[in-house]
Order: sequence, then C-alpha cells, then structure tokens
Amino acid sequence: MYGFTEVYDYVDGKVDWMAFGLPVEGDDGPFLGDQVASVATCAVTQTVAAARRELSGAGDDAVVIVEADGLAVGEVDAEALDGQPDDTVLLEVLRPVPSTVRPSVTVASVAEGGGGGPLVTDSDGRLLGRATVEPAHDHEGHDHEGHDHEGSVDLEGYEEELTAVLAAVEEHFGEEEPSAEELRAFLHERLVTEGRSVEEADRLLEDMGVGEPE
Amino acid sequence: MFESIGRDRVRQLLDGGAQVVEVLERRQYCLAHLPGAVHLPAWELTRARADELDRDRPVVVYCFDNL
Repeated sequence: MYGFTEVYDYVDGKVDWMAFGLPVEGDDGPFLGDQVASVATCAVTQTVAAARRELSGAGDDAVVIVEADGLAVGEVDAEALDGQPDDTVLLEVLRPVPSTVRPSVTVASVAEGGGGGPLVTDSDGRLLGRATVEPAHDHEGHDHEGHDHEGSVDLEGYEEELTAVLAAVEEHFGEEEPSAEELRAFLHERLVTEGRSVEEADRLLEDMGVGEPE
Repeated sequence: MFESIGRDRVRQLLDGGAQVVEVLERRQYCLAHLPGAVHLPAWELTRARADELDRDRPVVVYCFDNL
C-alpha cells in the first residue's frame, strides 16, 4: 500500500498494550502501571515459615501467593500466620485475592474511588505489584488540573463512534478519496443532522483532527 | 499486505526502529498512545499523509483492540 513493503497490524491494539502495563505517552496518565511497586511473594507450595521470612524482610503487611506462572491466587497477612506451625503449606492459609486491577487504569480514577492499594495484574492475571493511591481529596488542585478525569479511558465508547464515522464516510464517498474540505463538510453536516450545534460540531471535528477548511 | 502481529512482535519491531501509527481520532491519541506513535487517523490515510512516513522502515498500525 502506497509503496510500503513492511506493514503490520497490531490487531489487539492499544487496549492490549496498556493492559500489560507497557509504557504509553499522552495526557491521561499517570496510570497504575507507572507506579507499581514490588510486593513480597511466595509460591503456593511454600510454607508459613517462608512467608514469615518474606514479611520480615520486605516490611510488607501481606505476602501475595502466586502460582508458578506468576498468577496471583491469594494473600496471607501477618495475622493469618499467628499460631500456624512453620511447616503449614500456604495454600491452606491464604485468602483468595479479592480483585485486581489492570495497569491501564488511571491513578485518578482509583483516587476518586477512595484510593487504596490494589494488586495490579496484567490481562493474563500475572502479578505486576501493588499500586498505593491516596484518596482524591488529598490531591485537590493536582489531579484535576488541566484534565477531564472521568475515570479510566472509555475505549469502547470511542470505538463505537469511530466505527460509525468510518462506515458513514465509506458509504458516502465509496472508493473515491475525498479532499480534506469535502471530508470536513460531510462530517460537519452529519454531526449537525444528528442534533449537535454548529459550534459543537466544529469542536468535535477539531478534536478529531479535521481542521478548518483552507 | 498487512501482517497481523501480537504485542511481543510489536516490541521487537519497535526495538528495531519500526514506525508506529495510531489511526484513532486526535482526542484518543492525545490521551494515550504507544511511545513515539505518529497520529494518522484512518480517514486521513491518503498518499500525501503516507509520505510523512519512511517507506524504508517497517510500519506498525494499531487501533483500539481486535473487535
């Protein structure tokens, strides 16, 4: 296409990239993946004695119990170890991990939800660590500055919008390649027909990168 | 012809100097994009815009997800 010989389609896209905590650039961060700290871990086959060693060494309140492939399956805190014989297998005393979050969740959305220290795992459930987030009221004047934090990125909503726009453009122009001006005029009319004001349509087109005609 | 690839292959290609292109709308690109990604919306994939890319380097294109 257009003389390119090596073109690849990353089919799982941005959602997949971010769900694995890989770095991104942009305005919506920071993401939990940016501030994940390591946690003390033990394997399910290890014993209470090993968990005690981990806790004393790491200074954590709890040990995360993981399977051989890194899947987080539970936690054991210091209280649960009280009175347990050293040779008790951790599988017998762990409590299941309540819930985990993806590294692509914004810090702001967790802060607005009251903060906390959720375990962060990738999309396959492999433990990345823990992200400690202060409640939003501790960040007044910081988290909201210059941002419209409405929680994590609503990728699905945007995808639906984008798919509808692309389908409409294809239906209208067919194989013909529209000029930037034609494209803008078409999209503007479509937005106004859908009930948006002229000003709102202008703003949306600007957001989409479809600027004013020459 | 496009070749469908996964995350690990993308990382390899990026390490090797590939160009990466996000085809979503500007607002989405501004919120978060892959490191070094160029913004080239799907509806602007014209020959003129394609000239902004280096034809001698691999190009990785991505959207939201696989739906």
